[in-house]
Amino acid sequence: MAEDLYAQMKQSVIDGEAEDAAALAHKGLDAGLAAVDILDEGFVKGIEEVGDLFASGEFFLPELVQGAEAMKAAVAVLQPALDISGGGRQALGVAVAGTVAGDIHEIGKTIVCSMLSAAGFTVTDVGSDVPVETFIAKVRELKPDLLLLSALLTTTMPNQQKTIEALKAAGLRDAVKVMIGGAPTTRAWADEIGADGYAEDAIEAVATAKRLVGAQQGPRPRRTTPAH
Amino acid sequence: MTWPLLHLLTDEERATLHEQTLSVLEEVGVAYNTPVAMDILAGTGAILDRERLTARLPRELVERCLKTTPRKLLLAARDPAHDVWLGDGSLSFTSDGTATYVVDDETGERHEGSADDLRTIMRLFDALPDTDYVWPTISARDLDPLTANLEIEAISFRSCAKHVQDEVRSPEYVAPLLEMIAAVGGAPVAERPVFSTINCTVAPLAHDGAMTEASIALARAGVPIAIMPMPLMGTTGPISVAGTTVVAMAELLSAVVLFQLAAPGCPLIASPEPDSADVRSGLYVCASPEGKVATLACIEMSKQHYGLPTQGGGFDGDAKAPDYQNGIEGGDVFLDALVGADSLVGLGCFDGAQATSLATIVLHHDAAGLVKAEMRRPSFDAASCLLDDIRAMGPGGHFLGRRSTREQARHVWQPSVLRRGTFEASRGRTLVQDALERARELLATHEVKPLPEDVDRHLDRIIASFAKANR
Repeated sequence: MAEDLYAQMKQSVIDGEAEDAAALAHKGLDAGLAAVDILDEGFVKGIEEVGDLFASGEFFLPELVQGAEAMKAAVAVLQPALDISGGGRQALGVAVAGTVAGDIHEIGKTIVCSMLSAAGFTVTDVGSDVPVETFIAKVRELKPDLLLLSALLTTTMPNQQKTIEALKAAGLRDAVKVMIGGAPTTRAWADEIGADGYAEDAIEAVATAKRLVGAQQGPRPRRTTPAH
Repeated sequence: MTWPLLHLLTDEERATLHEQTLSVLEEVGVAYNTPVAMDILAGTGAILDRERLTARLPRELVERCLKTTPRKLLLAARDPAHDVWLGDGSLSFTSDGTATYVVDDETGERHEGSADDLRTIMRLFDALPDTDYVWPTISARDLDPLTANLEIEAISFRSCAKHVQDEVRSPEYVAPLLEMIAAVGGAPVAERPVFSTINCTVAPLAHDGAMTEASIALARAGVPIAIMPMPLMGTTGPISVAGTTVVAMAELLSAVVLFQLAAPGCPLIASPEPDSADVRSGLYVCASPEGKVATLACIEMSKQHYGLPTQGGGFDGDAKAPDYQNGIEGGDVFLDALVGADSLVGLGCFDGAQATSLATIVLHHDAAGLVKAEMRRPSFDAASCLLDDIRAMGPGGHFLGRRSTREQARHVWQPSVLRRGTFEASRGRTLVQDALERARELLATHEVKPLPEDVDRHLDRIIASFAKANR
């Protein structure tokens, strides 16, 4: 019965059915299955397959984003139980992402978050028009491996630099790798402001993120991260 | 004479798009993201959410505001010989704007564009007669971010005597910019608007609050506003061409409503730029066929259905160089003109408007001349058939000796670099090399009409004063 349920959970993520995924997560918990097993044997297998199908060219962005949404819906149901048990998703890394202050463009950042999630990262998307102070607070709170800063306007790009400066002032600069992106940004700009990574598109962003956390580019190695 | 407008949409399709657009505005609404817009819309029948800064717009309001929007407008130039009227039946071209990189046509390497690059490029556009007005092509990266918005306009005014159109990012730039416009135009802003602004909405259905506040202030001063919605099919717009058209038009009309309420009768330009997103990376795709069709639908709605002065697409595409792909991608702008665009945006860029090069500018300029020549509808009346010549020649012979040929041959369009002639004459050189050489010749010989010295100094004072007050 458990195997059957895990298979359905996996499929709900592959199909991008967020409501089904949440319902199955509840069903699994009601059936007495351990939250960490539901996550690893059911939903994570689904998101891994979504990532593999995307990498092979069979799946496109909509499947990736919807798979990530289904995963997120399932994790939301499981999180309280995971917190109690002390378990968590075995992730490649933990990332916080947002669009900088004064900028409400977020589609690029949203796509990167979905891709990172599908690739095995635990991602917190803090939205758009995010003040520097909020990024600093999130780094303190979540202790991510990566902080991703998006800017789509030349006038808001300086906020990427301000965020890096604020990390230094807060004594947090060495605690997190910073990646930047967005249409007007360039590799030269990333170097100028001391970012650790830059990507021109979401696919490159995932490769850069993996490199920065020391992950292999091929099949995923696993490490356990604390639940939060 | 101009060609009759091409109708791509049936009457029923136009009615559907119109109805769906109004439904979106009434039922879904838009986020204006500024309390200034809420104040302007108060008491107009719009349903406001002051906390979320959103508004739902009743159709009567939309239709009323469309009626007050002028059908024709002046884009003045500091040299009045370059004045452009949009909506008078003529076709104009503008340079394309805000690229990040300049590509070296000889090495293929790119570098981030600088203020010097911008000066050079704007001088080149000044020299090219089929560039009617300019959008600063480079987003110069070596300028102080605080004053860059103003410095870019100053560079453009100095380096090019044509009308300048550009984005104004936030309201603190309005006062100094209006002072610049008045100084450069030598007249009140509304009388000689030598500058127009681009207001880019944020798909889906949102406005950039700071940019919108700036545009409202500029509209009140008589500066024309080009409204540029850019939803991308599948990401910030629905996956269908029709759906993305509706989102683009809803954003456009929501801006029309706001600016007409703020400044009734203010000159507005519809400049819809829907496109696609790559289905794998999500990256902006500038020249997808779907995006092109959505743009054409938007142009037809803007110009033919709503009567708005309209800017259409240009020669930019996804090509990484001025190559065959770039030619193909820009080659169908003729359709934008036939569907009703009053001007085409724009010349000089590739790689999704991220890059420019000197050869590209010259090549695009030749293409613009070609399109303008095709759009000059010849006469097909009896006199134009030159039957007297045909009778005189009879079977065989040639027309080279005819007076009509002598008089009219010089009006036949000639490219400056696009190849004709023999294969041997072109052997050993590429088209890009020829275009680059032509660019260098023009830059070496062309003289931009200088700004009067007092105006030139005034621009510096405006920027210095702004910097001092805002640092």
